[in-house]
Amino acid sequence: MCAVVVTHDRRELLRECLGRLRAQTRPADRIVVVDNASTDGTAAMLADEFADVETLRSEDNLGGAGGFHLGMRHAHDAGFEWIWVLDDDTFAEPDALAALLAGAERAPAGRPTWLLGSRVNWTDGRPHPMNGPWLRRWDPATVSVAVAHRLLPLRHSTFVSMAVHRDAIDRHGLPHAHYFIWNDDFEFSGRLLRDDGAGYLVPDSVVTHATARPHSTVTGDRDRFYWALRNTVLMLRDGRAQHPVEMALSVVVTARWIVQYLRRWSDPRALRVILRGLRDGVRHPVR
Amino acid sequence: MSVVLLVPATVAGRIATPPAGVDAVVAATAPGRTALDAGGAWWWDAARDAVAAGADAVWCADGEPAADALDALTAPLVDGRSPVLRSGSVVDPDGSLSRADLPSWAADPAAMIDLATVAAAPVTSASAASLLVAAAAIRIVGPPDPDRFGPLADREWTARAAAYGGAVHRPRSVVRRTDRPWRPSPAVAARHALALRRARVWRIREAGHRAAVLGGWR
Repeated sequence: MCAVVVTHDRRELLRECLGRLRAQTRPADRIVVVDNASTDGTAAMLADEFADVETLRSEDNLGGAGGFHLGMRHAHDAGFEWIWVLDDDTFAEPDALAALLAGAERAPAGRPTWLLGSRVNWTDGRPHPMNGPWLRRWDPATVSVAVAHRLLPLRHSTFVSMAVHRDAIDRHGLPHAHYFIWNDDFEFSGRLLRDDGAGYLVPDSVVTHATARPHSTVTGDRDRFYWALRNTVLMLRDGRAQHPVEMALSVVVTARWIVQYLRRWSDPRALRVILRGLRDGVRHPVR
Repeated sequence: MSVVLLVPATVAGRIATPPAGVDAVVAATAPGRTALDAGGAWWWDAARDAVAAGADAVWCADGEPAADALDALTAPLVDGRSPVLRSGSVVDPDGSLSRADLPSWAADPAAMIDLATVAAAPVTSASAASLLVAAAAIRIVGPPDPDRFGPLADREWTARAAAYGGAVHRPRSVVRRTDRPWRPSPAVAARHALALRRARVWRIREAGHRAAVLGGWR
C-alpha cells in the first residue's frame, strides 16, 4: 500500500495530513508527496520534518489531476498493489487505512474490488457536501449484498480518500492529467466502476476534509466552477465513465448547477465563467 | 419481547419448532396463497389479532426463517435507534436473492453510512415477505389497502409505517421461500407500480424498475 498526497502551497495542512498518515495503526508502506511547484516552504518542511516521505517535485503546478496522475503512475510503476490517494487537506483518523484494507478483505465475491473510499466528513463531523458518496442506490440487490458485508457500493468516489487497486489501472489507465482540478476523480472512478469493477465505501474508514467551508461544486470558489463545467463536458464527450442514462442525468445535474450558480453569482463575470467552461469543454481534446 | 411469527399456511406445517425468540407461529393466510396473490396484505388480520392479544411485535415471513434470522433482525443498531420496521432478505428456493422483495433505500447518505457499520440500511418501504413489525405500528398506522395496491399493498403500508417510526433493512436475516412465489402479469405489475408512484411511495424511476422486476421483464 502506497499513500499518495498531492499538495500546492498548503504547508500547514500538509504537515497535519502527513502527521496523520504517520500515526496510522496500519501505516502505509510508502508515502509519496507530489509537490505541485509549491513556493511556501513546503519543500524545506518536507526535507526537515518528513525525511521518510518520498517527494516528487514538479516545477509546474499540474493541478490535482496532474499530481494524482504523476503520483499514481509512480506508485504503480513501483509495484504497489493498492494506492491510497489523498488531498493535502485530508486528515485521516488513526485506523482509516486499516479499515479500508479490512473492507477489501470482506468485500463480496464476484466482481473484483478495484476501489475503496472513506467516509468524508467536514470539520463538524457531518458528511462533506462536495464529496458524495455516490452510491449505486438504483441497484437494490447490490446495495443489500454490500450492506451485509458492512460496505456500501459506490458508483463514483473522491480523491479526498480513495484506494485504487493496481489491476484497475492496468485495465482502465490513470486519471486524466489535463482535467487539472475538479471532476477528475468523478471521471476516473466512473471509468473504473462502470462495467467490470466493484467499488465500496468503507463506513468505518473516516477522514476529515478540512476545507475552509463545507462547500459544494456550486458554492465553492467562483472561478473554479469553470473546471467543473469544462471537465463534465469532457467526460460526457469521452463517454467511458458513464452509461447513456447516467450521462443524461449528468446533463440534468449540470444544468441545475448552472442555474444555482447564476442565482448565487448573477453578474457578467459568472456568465463568462459558464460560457468559457462550456466552450472549452467542447473544444478541448477529450484525451 | 414477545414475538409472533406469521407465515402462510403452506409454510406453517413445515415449521416443526418455532425459531428461537418466537413465542407462537400463526398461519396467516388461506392454504395455497402467498404474499403476492393475497394482495400484499396477507399478514394484516393475523398481525392485528396478535397485537390485540398482547404481542410486542409480529414477524411476517413468506417462507422458512433461518435459525438466526430473528437475532439478525433485532441486533442493536447505532445511536440507540429503534425503528418500528425491520426487513430482512428473502431468497427463492434456488437460493438466489429475491429481487422483487428488496426494499427501497432512503435517500439519506449520512444514515446509510452510519447504519452500514452494523450491516443495516435505512429504507422507506419494504416487502412483508421478511418483516418484523413493532406493535405500535400495527396499532397506529391504518390497515393496508390491497384493493388499490394489489400485490404491492405491503409496500404502501410499510411506507406509511416507516414515515411514522422509521425502518431499516438487515440483509443478514434470511427467510427462504419454500415455493416459487406467484408473480403478477407485467400489466398488473405496471398498474400497481404506477399506483405506488401516485401514492408517492416510489419515484418514477424506481416505479419503472420495480414494475420490470415484479413483472419479470428483468
